[in-house]
Amino acid sequence: MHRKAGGTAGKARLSLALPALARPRNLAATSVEELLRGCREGRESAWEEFLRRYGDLIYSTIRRRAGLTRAEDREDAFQNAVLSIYKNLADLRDFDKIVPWMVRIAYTQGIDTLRMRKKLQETPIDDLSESSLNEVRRIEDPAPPAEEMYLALERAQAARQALSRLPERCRLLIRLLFYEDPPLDYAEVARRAALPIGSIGPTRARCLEKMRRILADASAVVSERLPVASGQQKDQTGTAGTTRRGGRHE
Amino acid sequence: MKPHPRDEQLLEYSEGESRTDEARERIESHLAGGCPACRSKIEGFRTALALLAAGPLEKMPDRAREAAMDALREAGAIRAVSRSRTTSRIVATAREALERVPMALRLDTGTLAVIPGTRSQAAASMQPRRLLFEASRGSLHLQIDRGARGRVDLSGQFLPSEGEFGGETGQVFLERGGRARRAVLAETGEFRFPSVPAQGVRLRIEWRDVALLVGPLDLGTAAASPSGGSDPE
Repeated sequence: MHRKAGGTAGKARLSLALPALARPRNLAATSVEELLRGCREGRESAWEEFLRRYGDLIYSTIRRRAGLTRAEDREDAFQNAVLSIYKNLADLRDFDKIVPWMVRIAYTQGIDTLRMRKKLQETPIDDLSESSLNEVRRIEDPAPPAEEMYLALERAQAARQALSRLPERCRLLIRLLFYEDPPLDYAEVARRAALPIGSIGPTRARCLEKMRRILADASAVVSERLPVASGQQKDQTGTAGTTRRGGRHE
Repeated sequence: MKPHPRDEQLLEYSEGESRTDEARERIESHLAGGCPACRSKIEGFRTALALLAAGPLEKMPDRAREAAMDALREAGAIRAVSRSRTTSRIVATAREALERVPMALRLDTGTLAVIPGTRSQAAASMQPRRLLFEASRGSLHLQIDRGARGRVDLSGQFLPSEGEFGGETGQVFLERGGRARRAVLAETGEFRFPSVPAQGVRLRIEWRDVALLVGPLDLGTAAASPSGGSDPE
C-alpha cells in the first residue's frame, strides 16, 4: 500500500494539531439508518450491503495496523470486527459517526489478533489454557493510532462513497489519475482510459466537478476551510491546499 | 464582473497548478471582485482533492467477506429467509419436480496410500484433496483445499454427460446442519464455496430437470466417508 497515515511516532505527534481538520461525515446518514435497521432485523441482503459499503474500510483499518502481516490474521480480525459491530449495533446512536465507530472497533480487533498471534508464537498449543488466554489479553496495548490514521480512513471512505455515485468513466479516470502508484503520466492514463490525451484535462475537471457536487449535495464534508496538515502544501494564495495528485503532468 | 473562469482553470488553481502566472492572477482578480460561486467551487475542489489524497481503501478479500457472512449466520445475526407461503409452495413444487439422482464416489485422493514416514507423506498432506463423483447425467470434480482456522475452500466443476454447457447454468447448494449456501454454476460448470467449516456437508446440484446429490461428505477427514455417495441406478 502506498499510503500509510499515522504510521510513525513522528506523525503521531502531528495529531496534536488536528482539531481544526475537516472530518468527513457520512454521505447518506438516513440510508445508513435504514441499512442498520435491516441488519438489526437480520436481513441477509442488509448485511451484504453493509459489507459492500464498509467491508473495505474495516479491512483497511486492520491492514494498516503494523504487525498483522499474515493474511489469515487479517481475515480473523476482520471476521471478529464484523461480529463485534453486530453485537454493538444497539450502542450506535449517532449514525453520522458510524465510520469512526467502525474504525475503532476494527482497530481494537486488529490489536487483539496481534496479541493472540504473539502469544501463540511463544506458547505450545497445549498450554493455551483460559488463564493464559487472559494473560494474552493483559498484554500492554500498543500506542493508539494517530488521529491522522482515523482521518485518512474516514476521508478514503468518503471518497469511495462519492466515487461510487460517479459514472464509470469518471471513476476509472479518477482512479488512474489519483490512485495509481507510482503516478501515471497523461499518455498512460489516456491509453488505459481509451481517451485522447488532449481530453484528459477537461474530462478530469468535469469529473471532479461532479464529485464536488455530490459532496456538496450530501453535505458530506464540514464546509470549513481545509486545513494545513502533514503532506499538504501551501498553494498560490497562501491558504491550505491539498497534496497534489492527478494534476497536470504531461 | 468578468466571465467566470472555466472549471478546468479553477481546478488547476485549487491544486496550485495554474498554467501561467497570468492565469493565476486572472482568477485571483476574479475572486477579489467578489464571486462566491467560484470561491465555493474552489473550496469544493480542495475538499474533493483532500479526500482523494487519502488514497484508496484496500479491497477486502472475497474469502474474508464469505467468512464474515458465515460467522454472522452462526451468531444468529442473519435470519433464515422467510418467503410467502405461495412463493414457498411454488419453489417447493419446482424442486420436488426435479429428478433426484445420487452421485457415486469414484475417486478420493484422500484414500490413496502413501508410505508412512516418507517425504511423499508430508507432501501428500499439503496437497488439496480431490474427489470424483459420477452419475448417469454427469460427473463432478471436487477439490478441497485446506484453509485457515479449520476451514476449507471447496471448489468444483460439474460436467454434464451430454457435453459442454453451452451457456446453460445451474445452481449448487452446500447443505450443512440445516443451513444451506448457494453458488451459481458458471458457464463452464465451475463453482466455489470459500471458507467452509470442515464438517459434514451435502451437495445438491440443480441443473436442468435433475437434482444431483452428493454426500454426506466429511470435509474434516482425510478421506470421504464410505457413505460419501451411494451407487446410482
